[in-house]
Amino acid sequence: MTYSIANNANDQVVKTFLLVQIDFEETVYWTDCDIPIVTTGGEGDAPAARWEPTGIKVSGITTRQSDSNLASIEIQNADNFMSAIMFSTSSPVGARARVYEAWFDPTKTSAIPDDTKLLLDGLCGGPELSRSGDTATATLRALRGLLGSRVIPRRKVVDLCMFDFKGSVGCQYAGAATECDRTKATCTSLGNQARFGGFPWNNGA
Amino acid sequence: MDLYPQTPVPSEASDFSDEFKTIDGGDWENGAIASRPARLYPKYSASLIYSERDFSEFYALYEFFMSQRGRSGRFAFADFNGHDASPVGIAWPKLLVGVGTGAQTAWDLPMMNSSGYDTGASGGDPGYGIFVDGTRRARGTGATEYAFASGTGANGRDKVTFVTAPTAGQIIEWRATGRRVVQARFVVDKATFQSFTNMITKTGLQVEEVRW
Repeated sequence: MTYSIANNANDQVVKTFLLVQIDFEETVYWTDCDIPIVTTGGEGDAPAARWEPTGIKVSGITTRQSDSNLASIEIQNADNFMSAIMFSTSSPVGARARVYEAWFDPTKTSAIPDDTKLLLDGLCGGPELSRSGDTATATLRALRGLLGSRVIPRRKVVDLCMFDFKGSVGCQYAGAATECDRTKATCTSLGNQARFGGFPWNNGA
Repeated sequence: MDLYPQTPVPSEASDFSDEFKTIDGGDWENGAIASRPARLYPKYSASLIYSERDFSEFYALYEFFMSQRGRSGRFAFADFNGHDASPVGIAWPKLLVGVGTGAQTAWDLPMMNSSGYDTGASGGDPGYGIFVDGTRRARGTGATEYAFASGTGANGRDKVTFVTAPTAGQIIEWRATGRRVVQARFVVDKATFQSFTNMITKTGLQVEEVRW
């Protein structure tokens, strides 16, 4: 747990907002905050970007120790932005979507968060346009993780293991070693390779 | 963007409101209530009542409503409180100007007829003026960090130009006396002439802020 989250997790004054990054033909950076949020790439998991406010609702997100799932991302479509994407030649199905939570310390005065935490990294499922009454929205249905076909459950695609060393979920190593450098080689030397939490084929590692 | 008609003037002080949103963690049996803010800045809305006006003045408002196509139109709305006072307007708390980009130096303020932002010596009252990440920028003797221009922004809004652009992510706020200006829309789509007349004379013609 990062310093900011550890120190403010129980603070009702702390402000948190969602950041949504979706790799359509052009990557969009949206937030449910009422002002733009700026990340420099040094505040945790989120990349450097300016996250623009838009009508967006992330629902059905469940986060566990080792994975997260998401039911849908609902996006306002009064400006037909999402219609244009859905009717374009490249469907949003399969577009990579990442949802982060941005944490602001209670004393924060700028729009740069203190921490960002990746909540979910997955692929968009079936899209749906809706004009219900006077509301126009687009919904990106269950990320594929819910269907079990492919999910990147709160793990970065890096060659190093992302599990907490000796954590009860994921690593579960119970041997005598006190340190781990998170590489596949070390995990193997500890006899725990079956629970290795990285992607060793990434970057050829 | 159109400016909401400045005449006729509401016959009573505009009843405005600022609304925040809060995310609750539930109301628990032991009385614990946890919550956190979902909105950093409030959403402004106003209810305008006009009375004892002649038909042509009503009609001007009706025509403006029609030009906006009800709720779909966006217009600049200047709060009428203190419009005929001296100094003009009322004192407002810090209002959001924008979030710095690292390149933009000129910013339209959410206010017209601003005053009181640099009263006093050496740049003025430290409680008023322009703030970047909560720190007041000087506009006084020997330390001019921004220039102020009255009414030169869009729709007659006041404008500031920084010597050095606020960096990306810095929050810019303005606190002064004046007429607060927001991007707004009507809250209804439907208005027969009779109901419209009833609204503006009795129940109030309502507008709400649309920030983005």
